[in-house]
Amino acid sequence: MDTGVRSTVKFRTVSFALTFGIVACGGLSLAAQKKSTPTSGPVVFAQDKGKLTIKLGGQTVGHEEFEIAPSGGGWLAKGTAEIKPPEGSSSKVSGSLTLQGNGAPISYDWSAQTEKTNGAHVLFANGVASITLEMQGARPFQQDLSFGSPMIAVLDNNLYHQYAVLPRN
Amino acid sequence: MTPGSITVQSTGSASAEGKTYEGLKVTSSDLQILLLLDANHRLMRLEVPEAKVSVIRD
Repeated sequence: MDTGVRSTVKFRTVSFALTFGIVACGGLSLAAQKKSTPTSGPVVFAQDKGKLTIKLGGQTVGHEEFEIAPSGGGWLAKGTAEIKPPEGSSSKVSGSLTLQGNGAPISYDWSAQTEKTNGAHVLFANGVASITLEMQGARPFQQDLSFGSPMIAVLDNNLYHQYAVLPRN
Repeated sequence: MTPGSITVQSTGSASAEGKTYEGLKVTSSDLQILLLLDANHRLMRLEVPEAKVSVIRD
């Protein structure tokens, strides 16, 4: 999966914060408390919708639109960011993360358009992320990652609304 | 995609551009990210001072 991340990290100066494509929130105190919370437990999310301006050194380099809303008995956090760094080509990145009411992820779909179009689909179950990566011009690549906990935070490249989900976990 | 661990700690009250927020510090193996939340825990700002990056809700 490193290949996938690197393909979306052409803009290192902006995507600094996204060393991890998927991050397990092992140290998140609230998440730790909820490890024993059943999936039908209390809802931790609140509906939200907004726009973000991404600045680098005080200069605007991108914008993101996002929405967090109930969906099919769970929640959907989706967003699209368009980034144009001072040096480099523009990029459009989209992500859709479906979550259980207690914050545990169910699935994640990601796509990025630069010179090529790449995407990934991730299914989460029992603390395992089953990833299918689709890079333009390459065969789909599959990988499983184990986290040891169903409470997994997804922090993807240049999709900052996912940090809005984090405080809810 | 790369798995890892983060810690999230409350920093208490924090201010930016004259406004007061609730701060959360997110720490990964190589980065510290500050999240500034309003009273309803909505993300209003994200700061990575080391990288001079700010993400601001419109």
